[in-house]
Amino acid sequence: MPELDKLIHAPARLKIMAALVALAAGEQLDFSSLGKMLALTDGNLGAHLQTLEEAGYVKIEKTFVARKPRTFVRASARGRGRFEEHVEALRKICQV
Amino acid sequence: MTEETLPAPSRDEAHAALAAVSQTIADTRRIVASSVSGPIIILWGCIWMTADIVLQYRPELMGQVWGVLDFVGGFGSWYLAVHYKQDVKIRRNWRFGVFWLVLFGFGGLWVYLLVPWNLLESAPAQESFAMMRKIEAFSHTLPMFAYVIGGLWMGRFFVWLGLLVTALIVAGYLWMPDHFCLWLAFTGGGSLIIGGLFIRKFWK
Repeated sequence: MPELDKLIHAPARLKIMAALVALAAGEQLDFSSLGKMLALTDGNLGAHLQTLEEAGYVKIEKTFVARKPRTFVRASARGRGRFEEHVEALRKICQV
Repeated sequence: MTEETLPAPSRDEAHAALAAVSQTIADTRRIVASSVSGPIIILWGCIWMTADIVLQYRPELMGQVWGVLDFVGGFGSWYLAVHYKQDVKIRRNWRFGVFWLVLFGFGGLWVYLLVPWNLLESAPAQESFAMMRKIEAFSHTLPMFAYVIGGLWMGRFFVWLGLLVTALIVAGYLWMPDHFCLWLAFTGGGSLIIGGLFIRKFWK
């Protein structure tokens, strides 16, 4: 029986996970692009990502591109699994 | 109830959450696809147009023309994917590039194996032109086939673009045999350019 996930259920984190799961496995999204797409401030997005990273749902990679610091984010396999399970649980509720 | 579970939301809340998920996934795919696809599609539209105009008048140059322009297109696509100022910056995994290599490798292999190259040199000009028409039709519909399949995940726009251009190519192949390359240049190449401009303007 699929279970709802407390971490993913928060609206902002649900959208973050949905955006990252929409990418192919292994593809990474730029931090500022993600914030812009979801209309989240850097601070707000950073806090949510930290929560998701601590749970092992996302992987964050800080790197340099053309000598400028850049942060890329992707959903981990565990995060994808939990997201799918959460969405499945929501579907079950809708069917009741 | 485990630590990571929570009381079930109401049916309306669950509906709203699922709608938000669907909308975010669709928006993400559309924005990501549009960020670099537009310029790349325009580039390939220009390449098709150039190559097909040349081939209408100098069909014997098919190998050289496509050899040079495919290289320009491949390098240009790579350059745009890496350096173009995108609204959404994404690190693609290796599968994206390998997909196109496999597709064109597959097409190139079968063109090489199925075309009677040794007979072509001695064949009358009309037969050579007819064979070139077949190769051109196949090689132009192959990436459109990929657009249709990819569009099932990336967005319906790519499905419609692929189907439209394929239909135009087949129509020209059947009903415009003498001016097929010009037809390809302005309908196939033109559709790609218009499609790329449409993506750049409206997919933000």
